[in-house]
Amino acid sequence: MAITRRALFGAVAAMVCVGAPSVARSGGGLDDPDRPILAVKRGGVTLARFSRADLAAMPQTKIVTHTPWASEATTYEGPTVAAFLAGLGETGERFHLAALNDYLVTAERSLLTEAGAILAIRENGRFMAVANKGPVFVMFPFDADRRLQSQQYYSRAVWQLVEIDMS
Amino acid sequence: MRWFSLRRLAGGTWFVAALFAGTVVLALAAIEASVETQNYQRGLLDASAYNATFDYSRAQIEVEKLARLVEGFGAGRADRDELEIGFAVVKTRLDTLPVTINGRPFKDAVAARDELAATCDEIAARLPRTAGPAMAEQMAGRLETLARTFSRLATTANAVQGDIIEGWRTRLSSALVDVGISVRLLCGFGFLLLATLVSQKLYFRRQALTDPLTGLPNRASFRDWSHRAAGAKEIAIAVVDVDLFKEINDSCGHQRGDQLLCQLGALFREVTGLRSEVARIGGDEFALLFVGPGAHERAETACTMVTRRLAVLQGTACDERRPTLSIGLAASKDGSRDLEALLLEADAAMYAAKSSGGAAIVQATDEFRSRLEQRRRLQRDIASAVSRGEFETVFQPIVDVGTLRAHGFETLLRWHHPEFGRLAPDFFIPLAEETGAIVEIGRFVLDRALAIAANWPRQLTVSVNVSAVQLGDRAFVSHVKNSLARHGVAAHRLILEITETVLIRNANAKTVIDELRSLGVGIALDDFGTGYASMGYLRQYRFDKIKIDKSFVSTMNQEGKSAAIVRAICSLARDISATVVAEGIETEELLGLVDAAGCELGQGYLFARPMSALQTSRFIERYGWCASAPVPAAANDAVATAAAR
Repeated sequence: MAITRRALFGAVAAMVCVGAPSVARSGGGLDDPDRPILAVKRGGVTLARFSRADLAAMPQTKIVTHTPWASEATTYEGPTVAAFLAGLGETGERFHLAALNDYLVTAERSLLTEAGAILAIRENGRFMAVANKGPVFVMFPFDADRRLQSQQYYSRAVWQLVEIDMS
Repeated sequence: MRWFSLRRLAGGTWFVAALFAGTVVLALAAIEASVETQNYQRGLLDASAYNATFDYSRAQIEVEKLARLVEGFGAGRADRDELEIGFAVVKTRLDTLPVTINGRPFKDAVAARDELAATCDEIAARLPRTAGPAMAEQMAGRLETLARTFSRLATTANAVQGDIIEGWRTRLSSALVDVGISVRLLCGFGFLLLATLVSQKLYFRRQALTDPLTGLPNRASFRDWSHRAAGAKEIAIAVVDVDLFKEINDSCGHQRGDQLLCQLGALFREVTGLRSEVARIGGDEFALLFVGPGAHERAETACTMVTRRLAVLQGTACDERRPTLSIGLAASKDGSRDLEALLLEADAAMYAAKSSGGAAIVQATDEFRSRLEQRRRLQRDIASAVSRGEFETVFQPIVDVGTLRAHGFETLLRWHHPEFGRLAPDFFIPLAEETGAIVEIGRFVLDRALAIAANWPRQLTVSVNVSAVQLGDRAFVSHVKNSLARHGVAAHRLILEITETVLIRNANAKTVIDELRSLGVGIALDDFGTGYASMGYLRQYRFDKIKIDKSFVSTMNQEGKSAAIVRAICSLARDISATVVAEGIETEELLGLVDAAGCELGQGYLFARPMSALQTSRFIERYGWCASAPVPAAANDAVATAAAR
């Protein structure tokens, strides 16, 4: 099933690329579902790399919420940070989350897991392209818990996440 | 003074109402202020939850980076992938760029975003085809300009957001000030209310414990004194009662009576010092408590001083009679008796002073206490004396003075107390009247008298004494009627002896006596001459017999007026168709005098002492009655001796 879905979304992505500007099309490789896009490191040493397909194969959790970056409620899907870290078997308590735009933020494991953060790869049912916050967007259920509507959590909602460095 | 004024204010309904209304208004104001505070705090939190300035600064950096990449790509320093990532970053920024600040549209941001989007589209469309350093530089230049736009956007947004936050902060601060003022005022009002309530409570408590007339503590307050006396070794209590207070009220008016009570209250206050208390515990009754060393002596001194000063006090009565006091004093030197016991003793001592004629101080000495104790003991015992068979009825003959034959017998009562021996009616009847046991005792006597008289010759009467309490018993007449029927004794043979006191103490005496007379029962006025000897009673009631008290009879042989009085009574009795019985005939001489005075019937030791039922039967057999052999005066000694055994 996962393979079928992956193939389907791959086809959809290819179709989108046809209509996209030439730079985007020529760089279609950025949105290749099998291209490793997320690196997990410890002290700078890479432990694992994940492709979008890998993340999509994990149990998915859906969050419907408003964010400061969208005018309407949006549906995000992806594995929970808790499940992702459990799958890694790593015990790091403090992470550096790095994004493609050189955004770097540190976060406690508990802050992410207790708030129910997910590594969103889909937005409103569609995989997020690199040009649209993808492929990974750390998302919190802001609407479900008012306490999350603060700078503390907004600053950890990292889009274009490329690296998780544990310490 | 402050408390006093607060108490006065507390008494005013308007003051309490104003306090209450003020509290309610302030509470509402405080609630409103706190709701506002909450709203403003929420606004402040929302305003500071997200910082749009940061996004614009980031956009500036990202656009500048893209400009460098475009330049590098044109110069061949950067590859396509890098350029693509630079574009992706900027496009994402475009997608996420906030165009409102705290819900308000931020036009500059919309314009900047649209321009950046258009520029990006153009570069993406042109760069791959016309790649060259010149074109790249031109593109990079445009991006640089855009980066500056975002830089300005960041500073503008910073000011706008700062203004918004400041607005919330100002409102929140003023709301907090409002809350603070409301809360402080509310606390002030609450404190005032509390103080008012406490002062009212104290005021009412004091009122409840104070006698309004004299301003002295009242009986309720007096009960609390046991706490003050607790633990004290020496305690003395004086109970003071105004003699004939009712008469003062009746003859001088209640106002004068009240005035006297106030004067007394002031006197008591003056004579009692520290470690002593005064209370008005009844209408004309006061209690004085002395605690601590020399309590007894201080109590004695105070009582004597009050008596002395009352005697010289002006304006205490409306006539020449000066009010006097009956004072009962009880003291404990070793803490062996508590306040309650002392109060009872002092009360009893006061009554002793009163019954001895008033104007006296009676101390509850050990002897007094033992008498009191005995009295209480007898009062307890008398309630069950009938059922235990401790009463004995004895009979004394009433003799026809002319023929010296028995006319009838008066029934007398003896109480054989298991411990104190034989007790006289004069002693125990008042006790029985106090407890109400007299009703049962009276029924017993009547029953016994009729049961025994039923066996006597029909010509003989049987006299039974009736107390005031008995006469007040509603079932008395029906009981007399039933007893007569039960024992088959003709009603005219029963003579009920009633004293003047009985008539005074019973408002409905006339009704009862009329009912008894209608049954056929005879009525004798007992102890005539000792009380008021009011002619009014003789007019008001019809008596079959008048019994002259022995105090007159026994002094008939002496110099004085007794003989004349007896003669007058006999004459009076004849005129109102009553028979006279002279009591206390003890000698032949007295018998002669009584006869000469015109008395028809006589009673006394000369004829016989009170005898048991059996002795009475023998007496009747021996000396006969009515038409048979007269009672020989010479035989009396033998009979008297027999009866005395």
